[in-house]
Parts: sequence; structure tokens; C-alpha cells
Amino acid sequence: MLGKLIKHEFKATWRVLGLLDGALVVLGLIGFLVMGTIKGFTESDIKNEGLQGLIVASYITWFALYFLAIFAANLGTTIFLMIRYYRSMYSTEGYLTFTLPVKTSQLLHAKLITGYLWAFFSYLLTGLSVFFMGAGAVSQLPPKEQEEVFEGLMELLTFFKAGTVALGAVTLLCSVLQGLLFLFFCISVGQLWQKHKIAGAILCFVITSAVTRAVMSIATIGRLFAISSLMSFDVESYYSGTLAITLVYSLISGVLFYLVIRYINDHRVNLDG
Amino acid sequence: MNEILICRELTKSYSGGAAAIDHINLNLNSGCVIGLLGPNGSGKTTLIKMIAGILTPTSGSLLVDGMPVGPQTKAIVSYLPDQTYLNPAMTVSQVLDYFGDFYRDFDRNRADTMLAQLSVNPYVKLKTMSKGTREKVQLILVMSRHARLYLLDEPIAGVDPAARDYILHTIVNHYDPGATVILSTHLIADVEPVLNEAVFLQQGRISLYDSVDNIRQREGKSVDALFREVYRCWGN
Repeated sequence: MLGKLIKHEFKATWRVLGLLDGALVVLGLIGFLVMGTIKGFTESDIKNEGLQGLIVASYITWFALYFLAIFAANLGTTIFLMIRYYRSMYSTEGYLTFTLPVKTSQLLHAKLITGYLWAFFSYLLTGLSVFFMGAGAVSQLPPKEQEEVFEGLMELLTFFKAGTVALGAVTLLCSVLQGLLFLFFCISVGQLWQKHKIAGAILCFVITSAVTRAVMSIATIGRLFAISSLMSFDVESYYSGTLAITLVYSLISGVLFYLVIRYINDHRVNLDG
Repeated sequence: MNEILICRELTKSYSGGAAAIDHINLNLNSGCVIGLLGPNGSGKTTLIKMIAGILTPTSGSLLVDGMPVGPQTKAIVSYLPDQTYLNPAMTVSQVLDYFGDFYRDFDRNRADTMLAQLSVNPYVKLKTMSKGTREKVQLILVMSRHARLYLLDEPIAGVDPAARDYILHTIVNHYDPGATVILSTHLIADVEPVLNEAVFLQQGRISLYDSVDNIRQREGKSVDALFREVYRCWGN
């Protein structure tokens, strides 16, 4: 039954989320083409002060619009997943959802799996989109400068040990799941209110965010105080330590959010109001 | 006759309020149409939601076909809530696929036939339909299942007399022999002809449970007349 739930979850979300992901791909391609226009400017164009200002302003405007659009597409994915979760679970649609012959845990797992995959695709496409634009800019450079860029990139990628990079990847993957669980947790808690369920979810979001940020800030400050001297400061170990703390925080808070959602869905569903 | 529903000291309390269902003991037999009758706020919807698995009892036990409420009972219970509950962005055909995927007892041919009788285009989105048509589509979906227990919460509330006739006709003609229909309403006169048994609920408690024939014989009046007497709103 979990497979069927996932299938119908994808059916209900693919149009909107597929469109948003498509927008990320298109933005990346446009970025590649826009960066390709650099080659079109001659040396005299660049030396011309009036034209130089116009060129710089155009590229700044493009970058601003590009990053705004990328942000909007990612935010749109998150908001749509939240709306979908709320409507299908706690609005009148919940009368059907909660009377399907499946375990309530499967309802949550289906939403988490589909939501996670969409969020993952969204982040992946954002990365690819930025990469395309960067590739567009680099492709305009003379071969020698291209080489320098690749060398710099390789230096950046090999700056940390493979273990730290792997820890970073695992932390990122867990954080995405924890983020999704956090949003679902806020919506589930919000629906406990007899009325103003959305306001309840926002209140839960604000309070929980404040508490978790305070905890993380204390942990970060504590670690900074623990540094005895700048001479012995090791970027690698500090960075991997930060990742480890973030991973532990994601796992603990994620499990707590999951258990609360499970309890609410099993015992405290409130479809009235 | 098998017992489709057994309630033992079943109670549902909401925080800060009196018990909506107060220590109910009830055994319902299979194969009949049972009216769950009572005024607004008597606990009809709360009881139905607990049987459907939407609400969790505060205390007591509830067995459907001998099983505690869970995925197995949801597979044999066909539930019609007292409001429109389908995703309005879906077409009728998509909803039919959805029911067919999740309910093994869903009879697609029966649904298609009933929809054709109502001239409902299966490729039309639910949001483009009138409220009345959406309610009929919901009823068709629910009655197209070969369920053991049908839970129909206020199926005739707020509809015109012609639609009321259609709904009652659909219910009576489409439930399987051996299955049980629990129909909650406060419009007794309309449903009385189709009822075999009646349960009177009053402030979360059962004040009467008997066959409709026995009630008429013993009280010398119709169930509707008895209901009006039991629940009258002014002096004794």
C-alpha cells in the first residue's frame, strides 16, 4: 500500500513541482546563454565608460533576477509540499486520507518519501543551474585562464579530506529530511488548534525555530571558546566538528519531530474547524 | 446473525468539554439498515468517526467485525462523511482510479453505471460541479464498494426532496445482502421507511435501541413521532 500512496502522491504533485523544477533547468540554460554574450563585447566597448556602466548594470540585474528566481522556485517547492501535506491530511480531504485501509505511519512515510525526492531534485537542479551558468562564463575565457579556473576548482574540492566531504554530504542529506519533518511537525501541531490552524502552525514554527537556533548558537559559541589559540586552530577539524554537531542535531530533532507527528496522526487528528 | 459492531463502555471526551460519547454499550447485527438518530450535538458524528477510525476513543473498546479499528476494518467499512471531502482538483475518473487502487471491494462497473445514470462526465474536475452533484458522486463512490459496513453521516441533510429520494434509493438498492448500513440523521420521517432498527442517542448516551417494528408496536406510534416526543425542545 505504501507504493500506491507514493504513486498517488506523485500524481498529485508532479504538475506543479515538475513545472518548478523545469523552471530551474530553463534558468540554468538561459544563464549559460547570457554568460555567452560576454564574448560579444569588444575591448573598445569595455573601455567606453558609458557602455561599461550599462554592461555592468545589465549583468548585475541579470544575476539579481536569476538568484531571485532560483530562490522563488525552491521556496515554491517547499510551500507547495506544505500545502499538500496540510490539505490532504488535515482539511476535509483528511476524511478520505485517514479512512484508507493503510497504517497512519504509511501516510506519513509516503509524504516524506515524495517530499524528500522533490526537495532533493530541487536542490540538485539548483546546483546544476548554477553550474551551467558558471560553465557559460568560463567557456568565454581564453584557454589559459580556463585552466586556472579548473585548477582553482580542484584545489577547492580537495581542500578537505574525503571523510569530511562525505560527512558533509551525509549531513546535507539528513538536514533535508529533518527540514521536511520540521515543516510537517509544525503543520501537525497547528492542526490541534480548534480554529486558526495555519496561525497555530506558524506559531509553532517561530517558537521551535527560536529554541533550536538558541541551542545551536550555544553549541557553536561553546566550541569557539574551546579554541585555545589561533596558532593551533585546524580548519579541517573545526569544520568536521561543526558538521558532526549539525548531523547529531538533525538526527535527534528529526526523530523527535517524527515521533510527535506519529502521535498526533494516531491519536489527535482534528478534522473539525 | 454476526455482530458487525461491538462497543463496550465506549467514551469520547474532548478537552474542556463534556463527553461527546459517554460509556456506550452497543451490539449491532449484520444485514440491516440502522438509523442512528438524535438531535444535533447528541454524538452521532463522533460515534461514526470513531467507527471509521478518524477519532480515537478516550476509553472503552470498539470492535468492527470482531477487529479493533485499523487498516483491516477500514478495508471493510465504507464511510460517507457529512461534508464534501474529495480533492476538488481531481476528475471523477481520477477519483474512481484512486478508490479502485485502495479498496479491493470497489466495483468500478457499478460506479460507472450509476454515474452514467446521473449523466456525470467522468473527465470533469470535481471543482466544476455543483455541491449537489459532488455529494451524489461521493455517495456513488461509497455505495460502489462491496463493504461489510456502510457509515453514512447525514446523507440527506440539506438536499432537496428529489435528491433525497435519489440518495435513499441509491442506499437501499446498492448495499450487499449481509452488509450493514448505519445511517445518521435527524430527518426521521424521510428515512423511516428504509430502517430496520433505530438507535436513539441523547447527550452521548443511548436512550433506545430496538427494531423499528418493535418500536412502532410497543409505542403505538411511528419512530418519527416518538423522536419528536423524546427530543421535544419545550416543556413536558
